[in-house]
Amino acid sequence: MARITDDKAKQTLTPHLQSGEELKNWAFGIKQPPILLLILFALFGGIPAIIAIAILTKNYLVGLTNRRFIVLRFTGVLKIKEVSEYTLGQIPAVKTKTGSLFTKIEIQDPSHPFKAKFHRLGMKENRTHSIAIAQGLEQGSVKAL
Amino acid sequence: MSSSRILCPRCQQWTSTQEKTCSFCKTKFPNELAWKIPLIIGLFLLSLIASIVFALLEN
Repeated sequence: MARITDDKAKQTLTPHLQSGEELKNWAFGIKQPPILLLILFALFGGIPAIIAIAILTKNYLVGLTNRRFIVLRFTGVLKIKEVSEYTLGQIPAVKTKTGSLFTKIEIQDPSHPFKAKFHRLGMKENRTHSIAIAQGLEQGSVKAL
Repeated sequence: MSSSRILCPRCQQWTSTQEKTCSFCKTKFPNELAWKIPLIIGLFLLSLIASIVFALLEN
């Protein structure tokens, strides 16, 4: 964990900002395959299961600005594959949960759903940033669940 | 309002994820699971074969 530095995160997110847009918070998150699939893999064997889980896990770098919530899906060393953006105040529904290790964020948008969890050690200050993003999204959603 | 864009692996241009092909070079976007699922099945088969071979060698 903690493989992305704050400077690298800001550098990666900055090209996706609009003019006059201010980046407030950023965080590193992952989305693992469904738990039943993980259990199934574990039943079949150790090392292949670990490799399979690593292959199927999606990595995200997210950023909250004064206007939007930006999601960058990447592979390897911040090689961006997909960019999603949600305008604050127009997000249909947001569900967030903060546990002892993870902050979970789910955007229930029918056209572009998003779900990821953010480990407190994912980046330096990942916990602080992910909680701030969760709160910002809840305030910026049409209907907070 | 939300939107999503995907990077074309060939021309490195951004296209909406709702499109099945790149808007610029018309390359069809590959399904990422197309190589992941065969690889995972291959890994499990390899481990199964390895365990059978080791069990036979022990006997």
